[in-house]
Amino acid sequence: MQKLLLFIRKTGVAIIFIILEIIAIRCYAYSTPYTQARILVWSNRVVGYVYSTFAGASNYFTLRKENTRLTEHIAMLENRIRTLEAALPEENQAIEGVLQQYEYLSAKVISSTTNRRRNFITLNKGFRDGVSADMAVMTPEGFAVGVVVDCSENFAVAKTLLNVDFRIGGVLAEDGSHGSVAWSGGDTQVIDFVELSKYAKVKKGERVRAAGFSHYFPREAIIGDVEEVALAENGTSYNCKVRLAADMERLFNVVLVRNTGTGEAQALEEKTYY
Amino acid sequence: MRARVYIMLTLVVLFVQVFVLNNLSISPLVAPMVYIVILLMMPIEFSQWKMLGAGLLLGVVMDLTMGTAGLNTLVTLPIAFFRRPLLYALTGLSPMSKEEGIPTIKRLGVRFHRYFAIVIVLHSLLFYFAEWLSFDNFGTLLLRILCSTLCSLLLDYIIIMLFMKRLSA
Repeated sequence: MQKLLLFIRKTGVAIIFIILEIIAIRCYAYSTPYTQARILVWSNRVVGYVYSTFAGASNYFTLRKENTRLTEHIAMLENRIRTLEAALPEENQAIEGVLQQYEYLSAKVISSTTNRRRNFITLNKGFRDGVSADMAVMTPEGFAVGVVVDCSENFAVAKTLLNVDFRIGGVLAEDGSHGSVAWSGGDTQVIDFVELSKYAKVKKGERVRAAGFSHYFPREAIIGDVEEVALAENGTSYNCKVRLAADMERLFNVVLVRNTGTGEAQALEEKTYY
Repeated sequence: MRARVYIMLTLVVLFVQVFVLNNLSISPLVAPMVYIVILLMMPIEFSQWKMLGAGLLLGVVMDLTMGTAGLNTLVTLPIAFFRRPLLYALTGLSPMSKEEGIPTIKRLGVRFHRYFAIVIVLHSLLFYFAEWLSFDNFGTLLLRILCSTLCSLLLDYIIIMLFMKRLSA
């Protein structure tokens, strides 16, 4: 007991220093989305390899299931390509033009959070693999997940749709009406689809896709399905609850999408708008 | 008497930092941080506990006034914690010598300048790197560290020289 007291007396100040420093770093890290992303990137340089090992081990157990799912998805996509090729032979060139606007890259999720107001995922690819900020993150099925905010040599950090600072344009698949998609911090399976015109023909179960003008996601990216529809308090728009298509708590393989036309479009918008 | 002078020095430094330097925008490359001098000039005999408490208080006050939520605290804490070993290593004082009082030029001679400059540079490096959190624009970061450190050193010397005579008395 006496030795323990002596030890505490000797090392107490160092322990308190470390505790205070950790608290200060946490406060600073969570003060802005930028510091949070940067500190995540820095910590991933240290613990990223450990995460990769754990993620690799846990992926091994779901490998069979994941393999079946991907095979089914490939078959579905091949069928879709053949149907499209048969139906639109003369428009193939135009479709190729659209496809060339996007570059795709696969990655694995090595860590993720869903229990915070600002949630991020860490991916096992960094700028050495061609990843850069502003790339869209989607599941292999084409469900929107998030956007890369920062990357180191071997890892990238993306903010997900479950991040209160993240807002993208959404569009009703059938009606074509636009609105904003943002998360208010509640249910991790449900996101808000707001500012939708009151003249929109919105109904429960309707699909919501990413709007083409979002710059991040391709137009076909699926956000989810409308679950609840309510008129906003001012009566000028609809506020909908959308059940997310992507299962944010079970993300393993993802696809990174770079919109090669983003820079040009944004430069033009800045020049014209401001 | 010396305690009163030290309190005056603290108030002047806080005033200059909070009301003048934090609102001054000469250039994005120049953002002097003079407040660390408060920790540097604390009495030699202050234990690490006292230094840590002072570092925490100073960091929190600066964070509250600058709206930086932890940035200043995370930088002042290591400076406060390692101040004693740094002081002994850079001034050649011995922990056994039971030296007391405020570290001044009169007491430490040239060694005071070494201690003063190195700790301020160390604080600047920690602060600007923690603020930047990136090596993407390394040239700009380096330039910001260089300009701000030089400016901080100059201002700290001016403030110290104003009080040195009274502190040495």
